[in-house]
Amino acid sequence: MTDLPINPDESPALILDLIYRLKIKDVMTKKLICAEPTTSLREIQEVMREKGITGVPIAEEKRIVGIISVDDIIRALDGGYVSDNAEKHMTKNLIVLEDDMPLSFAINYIEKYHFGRFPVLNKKRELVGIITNRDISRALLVELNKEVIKLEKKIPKAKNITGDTIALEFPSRKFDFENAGKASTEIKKILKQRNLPPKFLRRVAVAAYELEMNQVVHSEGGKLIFSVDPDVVTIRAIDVGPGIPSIEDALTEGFSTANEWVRSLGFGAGMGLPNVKRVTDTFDIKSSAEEGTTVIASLNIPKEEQK
Amino acid sequence: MEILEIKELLQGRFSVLPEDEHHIIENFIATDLMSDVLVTEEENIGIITSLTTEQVIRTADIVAASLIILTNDKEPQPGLVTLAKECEIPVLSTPLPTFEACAAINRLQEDHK
Amino acid sequence: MKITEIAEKLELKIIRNEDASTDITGAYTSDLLSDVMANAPDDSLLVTIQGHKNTIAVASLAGIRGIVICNDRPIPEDMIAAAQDEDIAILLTDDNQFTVSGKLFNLLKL
Repeated sequence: MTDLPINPDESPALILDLIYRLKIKDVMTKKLICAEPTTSLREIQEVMREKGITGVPIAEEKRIVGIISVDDIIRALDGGYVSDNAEKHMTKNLIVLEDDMPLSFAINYIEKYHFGRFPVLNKKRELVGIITNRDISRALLVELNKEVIKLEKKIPKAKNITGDTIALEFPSRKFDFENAGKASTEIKKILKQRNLPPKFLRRVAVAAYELEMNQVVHSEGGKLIFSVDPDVVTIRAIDVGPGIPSIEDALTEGFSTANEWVRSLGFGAGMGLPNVKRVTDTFDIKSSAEEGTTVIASLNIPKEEQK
Repeated sequence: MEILEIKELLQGRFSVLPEDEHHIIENFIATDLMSDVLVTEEENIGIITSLTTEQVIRTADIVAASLIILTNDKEPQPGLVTLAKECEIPVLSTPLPTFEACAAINRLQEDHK
Repeated sequence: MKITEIAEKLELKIIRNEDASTDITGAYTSDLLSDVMANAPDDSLLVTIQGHKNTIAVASLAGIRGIVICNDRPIPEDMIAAAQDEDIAILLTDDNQFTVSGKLFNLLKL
């Protein structure tokens, strides 16, 4: 059966967001066409042809007991037993999904098991739908359309303020993983030219990186302002929203609001703000739904020993 | 242990070659979450991971890691390879899963004692 | 080896033990849930820092019987509740994934 060309490790951020945000129940076909164990394969074949489907679940009262696929029909026609009952030839060892699971699970299953369809059960183990490759493609196309329109409206203008190489500003865009981390790399390069000790550079890099990634992963967009004066390096991370519901939680090690797909990209360890706090000398954070989040952190530049 | 020993131990293949394959690495961490990498205070570490994005190199560079060990036979994404070459961090791919790779290195460290 | 014995020998804290007394025969170390789903062996322990409800969902799909959370990471209430529902054990250690993997490998004599 055809597999989906979606690699959960390498697809663009937008697609990943979709496959983890959408649930199987949002995407599956709910208008179920089932048959009973005593239905003949011939009748099932008729149904498949009429409705243009390639798999029919066999159910007793709302419980699924097996499935008949087009391949089963073809074999039956070949072997001359197409008037047999479904229950004699149905596949019983079923791999099913739950309606509340994210779409990513369905995609992983298609890759793992190479079936084209999976029955979907609710928490009560009742059959509530079926999900196929086609359902997934269709749903993704619809959602992608919406997202692209949104994106095209929101592209911010990049601004680099450089005055005596003392102040630099870098924009962050939501889910822009391709560019994520570049600001911190720049900052590190610039500081390196000033011959600052490596341990200090590492602390700056950790703080800058975590603040930058937080904006890319959690915010609607923002900027990182980085300033250096003789005694202190200051990083201001300002975003436009949506704000942190509980700053106390956000500062708790291991606490993360990152969703499934963000964690699949290697983020969401819940150590971001705790890491920043640990490596900086001053740390101030304020956040609201209306104004977004602002973090101001500073590191005191170590005095070099007289040579 | 030397980078070369690690390569042989893990049946590995370099996607980014080391400058010095006799360079010695004593400390390792195994994680797929990048903030976890940034928690470590060690230097000259080997990072064992299944994550194939360039963020692995960005965090490796921040902590001055000396080697990336990519497990489960994963191919690093082109962005990772490019950045690794720029930052001069070697990348070794191994067919072993993370659990087995960690166990093998642990055992070799024990043997060396 | 049963989870109780593993926890005792490796000094892991038992947050929640499984009711079924499975004989654990393997382990998988990963924080990427899609990898876990695709590759984890049956009747195994998962070594991770992903203290999250979804870890339980994936564990139950993949035949994993217990989760070892490393680096003393916090374990949310909803993860423990999910573990009760699915009868999956949760163990806690302050060792990191690298060290735990080594110890577990030796203990299970793999």
